Amino acid sequence: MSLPPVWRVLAASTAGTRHVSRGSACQDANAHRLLDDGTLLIAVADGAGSASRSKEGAECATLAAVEFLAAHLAGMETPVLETVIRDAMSAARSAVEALAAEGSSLNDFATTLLLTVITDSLVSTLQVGDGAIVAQLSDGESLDVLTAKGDSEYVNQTTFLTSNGYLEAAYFASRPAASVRAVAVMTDGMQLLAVHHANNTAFGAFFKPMFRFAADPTATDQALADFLTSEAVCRRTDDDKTLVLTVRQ
Amino acid sequence: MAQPLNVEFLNADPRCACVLLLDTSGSMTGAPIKALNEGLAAFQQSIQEDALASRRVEVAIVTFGAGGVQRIQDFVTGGDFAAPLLQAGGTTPMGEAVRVALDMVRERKATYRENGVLYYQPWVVMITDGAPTDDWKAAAQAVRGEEASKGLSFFAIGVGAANLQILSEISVRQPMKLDGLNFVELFVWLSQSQKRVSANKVGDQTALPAVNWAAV
Repeated sequence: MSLPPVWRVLAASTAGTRHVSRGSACQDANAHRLLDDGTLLIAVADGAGSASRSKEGAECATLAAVEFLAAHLAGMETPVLETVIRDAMSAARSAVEALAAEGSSLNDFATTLLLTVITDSLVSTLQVGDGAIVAQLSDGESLDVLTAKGDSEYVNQTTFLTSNGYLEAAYFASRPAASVRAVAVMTDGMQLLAVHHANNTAFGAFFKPMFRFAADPTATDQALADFLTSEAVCRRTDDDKTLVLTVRQ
Repeated sequence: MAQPLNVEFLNADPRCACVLLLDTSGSMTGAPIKALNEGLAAFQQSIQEDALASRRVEVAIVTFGAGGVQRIQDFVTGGDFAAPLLQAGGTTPMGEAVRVALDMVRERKATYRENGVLYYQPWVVMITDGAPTDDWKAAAQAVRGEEASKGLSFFAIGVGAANLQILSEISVRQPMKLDGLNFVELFVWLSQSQKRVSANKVGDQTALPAVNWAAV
């Protein structure tokens, strides 16, 4: 008998208006999986607009990371999460390298990667490139940003999974799972509208209603996608947008 | 079906600063200054056609010529930009004008940082039909220093009898020669470039639109 899922997940990646107007596809990707023991895996990636095959890079990286985590966490008694999650990022990089092996450049597949693993004891995250992961704490009020803000001077610079030194640049964070009620993972298109750049704190007036929505049993992925492509959002950013929301049931 | 209701957003547009460094010396009198003014009006219109660029692009204007070096327009968002009517006269104090423009860029970036505003690499676009009448070597060095540290992108555009040799010593990028008085085409290109930069997503190397205003 398998346990009922503890975490409910809503996920959407949508093309920005700039991409829609140029007829190009959304270069964000997301993947998630709930394991039999209740462990939740989430991967989110933002393919670089300048890289010709970054959509493939983003999809490949998210799928490879989730596959790796699923294979290596299943049945582990007390996994050292930081090690496993770093290995998952390496596995994602190797998978993208394999894609690029046939005559094309690794940079053509440039993508960021945000990994989140929620076990019964820990919420652990690993980030390369921009984007944000925000936890709502069990008081239902406090917000905790688990990702670092970028250290590059310009908004259009970041580190990619395909960059040299990506693993050294990757930012790891971990919190006791019992202290977390909900988690949001997003690419920079949404980050811009929801996380203060100056001090890397989460904007409560965005996240509170968003987590309330995610906790509603009638909420759907489609409703989330409709929100991401709504006029209110598209007026503020023309970038691709990904948002994955998970709430403890 | 539940919807995300009453969600509020941060007002956090990244900024894209662009200084126009314009020669208004005596040799610009007549048709050239008229064409330059038409170009500025076209720039305003083109930026303001784009809602995102209206909020994200910040324009400043420094002139050198009539009245010496003048900060005609401090940084203003594209939506609030009103093209000035420039007048020609005087000499060509290009060196000082370049120094003023670089200082404005540095000050603006410091303001962005103090206020936690995200920003793109600023542009300085210099347009001249002559040669400097003041000391320009130190200014050239300063431009090259800024380019080397990726502090800004400097573009030099020559009109008519401009001294392209000196421009190439100031600008790391190859100076371009305007075809006749095609200022409108130049400024529409510039606004299109700024739209692309300011709508550019993270990590992108922006591909600029094709140049249709240069003499071959």
